Amino acid sequence: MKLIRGGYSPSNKRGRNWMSAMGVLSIVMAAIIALRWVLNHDIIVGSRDKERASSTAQTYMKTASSVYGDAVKGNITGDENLALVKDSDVIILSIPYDSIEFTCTSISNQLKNGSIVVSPIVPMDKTDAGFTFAPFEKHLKSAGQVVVDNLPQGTKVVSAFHTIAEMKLKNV
Amino acid sequence: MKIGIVGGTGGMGEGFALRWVLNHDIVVGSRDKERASNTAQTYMKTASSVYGDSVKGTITGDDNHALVKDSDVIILSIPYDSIEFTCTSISNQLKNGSIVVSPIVPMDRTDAGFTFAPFEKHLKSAGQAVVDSLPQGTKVVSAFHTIAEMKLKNAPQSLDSDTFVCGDDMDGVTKINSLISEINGLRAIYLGPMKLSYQAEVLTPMLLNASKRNKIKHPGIKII
Repeated sequence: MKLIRGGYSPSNKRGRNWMSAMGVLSIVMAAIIALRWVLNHDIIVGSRDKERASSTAQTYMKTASSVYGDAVKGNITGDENLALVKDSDVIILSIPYDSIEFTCTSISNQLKNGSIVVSPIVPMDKTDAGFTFAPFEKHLKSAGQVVVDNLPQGTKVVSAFHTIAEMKLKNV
Repeated sequence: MKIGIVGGTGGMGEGFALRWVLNHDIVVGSRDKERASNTAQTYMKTASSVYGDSVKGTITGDDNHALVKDSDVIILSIPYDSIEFTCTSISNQLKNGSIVVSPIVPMDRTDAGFTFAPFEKHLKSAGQAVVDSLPQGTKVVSAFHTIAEMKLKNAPQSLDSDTFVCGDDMDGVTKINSLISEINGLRAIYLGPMKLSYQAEVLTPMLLNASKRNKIKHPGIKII
């Protein structure tokens, strides 16, 4: 999959046949995903604040370099949430359930043709009984379904990565 | 301890009987007492051939109703739609301090795959429905939702899996946890009060879908 500008990357000496540009909206889970996939892909970490995104991306990239050394084939950069969407082959929505509608609506006309939107979103509440699953308790749609329903028809949406422990994923 | 399995001639009944007969007396229930007795005899033969002399309990049959009054633990191996009727009819038979266990999972089979009926149709979880259909204060524990029937039956093979437990009465939960730990390779994971039972139950249609779509035989679940 491509580095940031989509498509293939034929000039690849290490034999990778494609690299994807991954846009990661919002920083929460980004560290995690960035540090795993930068081995083979270009990652764009998104934030509402471009400045913050860039400096965070630099920190992640340093970590990646110190962990993997020369084996890192991709890079990690930062951009604002909206801007990263148009270049990304895969867009991870690392956002809260309540932001789905707003975020999806605002990225709708930015999506690259054929790009895939991923929802790792889990709508939960913390109650006296323990953590509860909001769609069950409040008769709401699942996060994955809400994402589908708020993007243009035909957009490729995949729901995954819900049960991965953040600390383990970070620990590359 | 005396363990009664309502609806024990089908489904998970055989597996429970074969696992627990090592240390407990099991009563397998059916609407038809005759059928219950015959099935119990078959289970008992299997138990003897598997365990030999180490079997300390017995497996007998009785009708669903009659077994309740003597049982310390009652496993409801019944469909979701029968909960209200069954619970109402056993309500005045329950022995003081007995524990009612719900391994019930309300599922539907659809084109998309197995679905969890309480989520799709805005119904109560099975565990909650059992609580609400029994006299207030009855000890109810929700457990055993995700155990593959074939593996449970195959005593004494290790299940190498977890089962998730919900319940409001900690004495009941503790006793069921102990029954869980008597099953080879099964670990009890307490989730919280019965209000959370849907979280344990929903794992069954999830596992069945995972199994079917990814060709995983007799799937179980284990927290790592």
